[in-house]
Amino acid sequence: MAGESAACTSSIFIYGASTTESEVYFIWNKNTKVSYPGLYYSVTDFKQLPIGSLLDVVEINNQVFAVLVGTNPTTPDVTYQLLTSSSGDEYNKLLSTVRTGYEVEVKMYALTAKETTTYTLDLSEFTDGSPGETITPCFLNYTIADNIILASWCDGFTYNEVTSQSGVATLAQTFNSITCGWQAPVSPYTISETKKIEYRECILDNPVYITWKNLLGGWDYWLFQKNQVKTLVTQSLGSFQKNYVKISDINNPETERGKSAVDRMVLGAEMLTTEQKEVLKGLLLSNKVYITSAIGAVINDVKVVDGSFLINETEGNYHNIEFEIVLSEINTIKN
Amino acid sequence: MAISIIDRPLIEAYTSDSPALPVYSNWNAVWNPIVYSFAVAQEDLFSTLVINIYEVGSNTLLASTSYRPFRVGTWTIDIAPYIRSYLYSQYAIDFSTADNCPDEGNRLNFYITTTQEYDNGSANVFVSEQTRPIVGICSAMQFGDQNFGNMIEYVPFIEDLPTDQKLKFLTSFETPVMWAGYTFTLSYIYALEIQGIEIVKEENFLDVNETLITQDETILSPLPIGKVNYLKINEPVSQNVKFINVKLKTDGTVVDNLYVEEGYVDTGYTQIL
Repeated sequence: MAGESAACTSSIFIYGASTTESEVYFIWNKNTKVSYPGLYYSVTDFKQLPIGSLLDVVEINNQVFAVLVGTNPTTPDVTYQLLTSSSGDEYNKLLSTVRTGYEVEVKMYALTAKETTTYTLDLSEFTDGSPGETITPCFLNYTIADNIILASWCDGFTYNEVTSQSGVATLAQTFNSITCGWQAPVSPYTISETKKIEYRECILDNPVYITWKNLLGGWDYWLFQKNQVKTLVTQSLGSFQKNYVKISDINNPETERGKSAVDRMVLGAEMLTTEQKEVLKGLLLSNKVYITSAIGAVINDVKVVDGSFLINETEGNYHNIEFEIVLSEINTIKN
Repeated sequence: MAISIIDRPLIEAYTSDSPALPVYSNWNAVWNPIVYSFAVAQEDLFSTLVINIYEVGSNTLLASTSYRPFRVGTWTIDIAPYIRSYLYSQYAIDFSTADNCPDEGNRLNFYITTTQEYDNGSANVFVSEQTRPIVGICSAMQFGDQNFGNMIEYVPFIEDLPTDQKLKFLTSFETPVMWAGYTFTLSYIYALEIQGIEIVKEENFLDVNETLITQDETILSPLPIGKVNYLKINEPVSQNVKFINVKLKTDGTVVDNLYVEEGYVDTGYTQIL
C-alpha cells in the first residue's frame, strides 16, 4: 500500500483509538558534505535540550512528539547548536551544526489519551541563511497498536492507507512532511451551540455602555440608558491650626488640607425580563467592570458599590433595576 | 508501590452513538477546586509527596507544595489556589486582523510532576504529567454544577457531538442584547481540541419574525488557539434585523494553526525574530 502515497501529498498521519501507545519513527540520513550544513525544521514548539539525541519535545494536549537527532557514527563528537529562524517566522526554527554529515531521526509519538491534534513537520537543508532543498527521509519505522491506521494525507477528507497492521516494521518512504495525530479527516460539522442575539437600535438618552467579566470567564455587555444620576462625593482631608502670636491677628485658625473626591453614578435600566435582571445581577459579583466606548475601548475601570442593587418588581414580569458605580478618584490639590 | 494518580481534573465526553474516540475536557475553573486524586498504600505512609506545578511550553515552575500522607486510601489535593494568582482579567479587544482575538491572561496551561521521597532512603519516585496538561480558566462555576468546575460544556471538540454537548459561549445571557453601533462580542474557549481545522463563524441576520434576511460566514484566525477568545459580532447591513443567530462550524478544511506557548525558548537562549 505504500506505493499509493506517491500519488498523494508527501505527508503521513496516524489515527485511531487505542489504549496502547503508537510510534512513528522517521530517519533522515545525510552523510554528504554540504557547504553550510544545517537543518531547518518547522515544529509547533521549541526547546533547548542537552546535547544528545533528543532535540525537541513537542507536546500538544496529551500527545508528545519528540524530535531526535542521532549522532553520526563517523563523527560522534559533533556538537549541536540551536538557533532560531532569521525569516521572522516564529514557528520555524533552525537547527544548525558544523559537521560533514549527520543522521537525523525524528520520532513522533502519539499517545492514546488525546486524539484530536494534527502536527506537521518539515526538514530541509539550511543554506545561505534560508531554507534550501528539502531533505528526503530514508526510512520510516513504525510501531502501531491495534486499530491504528498509518496513512498518507490527501486533500479533502480522503487518505491513502499505508498500513493498519499492528507491530513494528520499517518502510522505505519518501515523506518529508508529516501530519501525525489521531485525527481522521474531518467532515463538516457545527462546533458550537447557536446563540440568538437580540439586536436593538440605540436610543441615545444618556447611554452608558457597561462591560463586565461574568462568572463563566467571558465578557457581558449592557447599555444603560435614560436614568443615570451622577454625583460627586467629597470628603475633607482634615484641617490644621495656623500659627499665631496674638489672638487678635487671626480670623480663623483652622486651614483645610484639602478634599478627596470621587465621581459616582447611579445606573438604571427598565423593562427587563426576569432573565435579563438575573444576569445583570452578575455585575454585583464581577471583579472587573468597565465603562467602554462604542468601539470597545475602555473608558473607565469602575467598581459597583456594595449592596447598592435595587430591583423594582413590577407587574407583567418586567423589572427595573438600579445600582451605583464608583468612577475614578479625582486628583485634588492638598496642602 | 508508590503513590499513584488515580484521578485527574479531566472529564470525558462521548457521542451518543458509540464513538470511535473518547473526547476529554481539561479546562477547569480556577475558582473551583482543581483536584488530583492519589492512591496511598501502607508503605507510602513514611514518605513525602512533593507536587510541582509547571507552565506548559516554558516549563516554568509556578508553585511547589508537599504532602505527608498519614492514612491509607485516596487523597485528593486541590491545586487551584496555586493557579489563581497567575490569571488576570483585562478587557482588551483587537479585531483589526480577524473577527476573533485572544483574551490574554484568562487562562493558564499547566501540568504537575510528583516526587515521592521516602524516609528510609529508598530511591525517589518521579512522575511527570507533562503529557496530560490542564488548563485553568478564570471562571467560577456554581455549587451543584454537575461537572464540578470542569468547563466541558464550553469546550469544543473535533467530534460532531449531539447538540446539547456542543460548545457553549461564555455568556450568562440566554439571549444577549446587542445595541446598534456598539461593539459586541461573545467569549468562547478556542481549545486545542479543534486544532488543525478551519473554524468559521456563521451569522444569520433575522427579522422580527425570525426569518432569514442575510447570512455571513467569516473564517476565524487560527492563531489565538489554546486561549479564551473574543468573537466579534458584526453589525447587520439590513435595516430590519432584530435577531442575530451565531454559531461556529467547520467545513473540515485543514489548516496549519501551529500552537506555541509563550516563553517556550529556554532561559539562556535567545529567540531571534
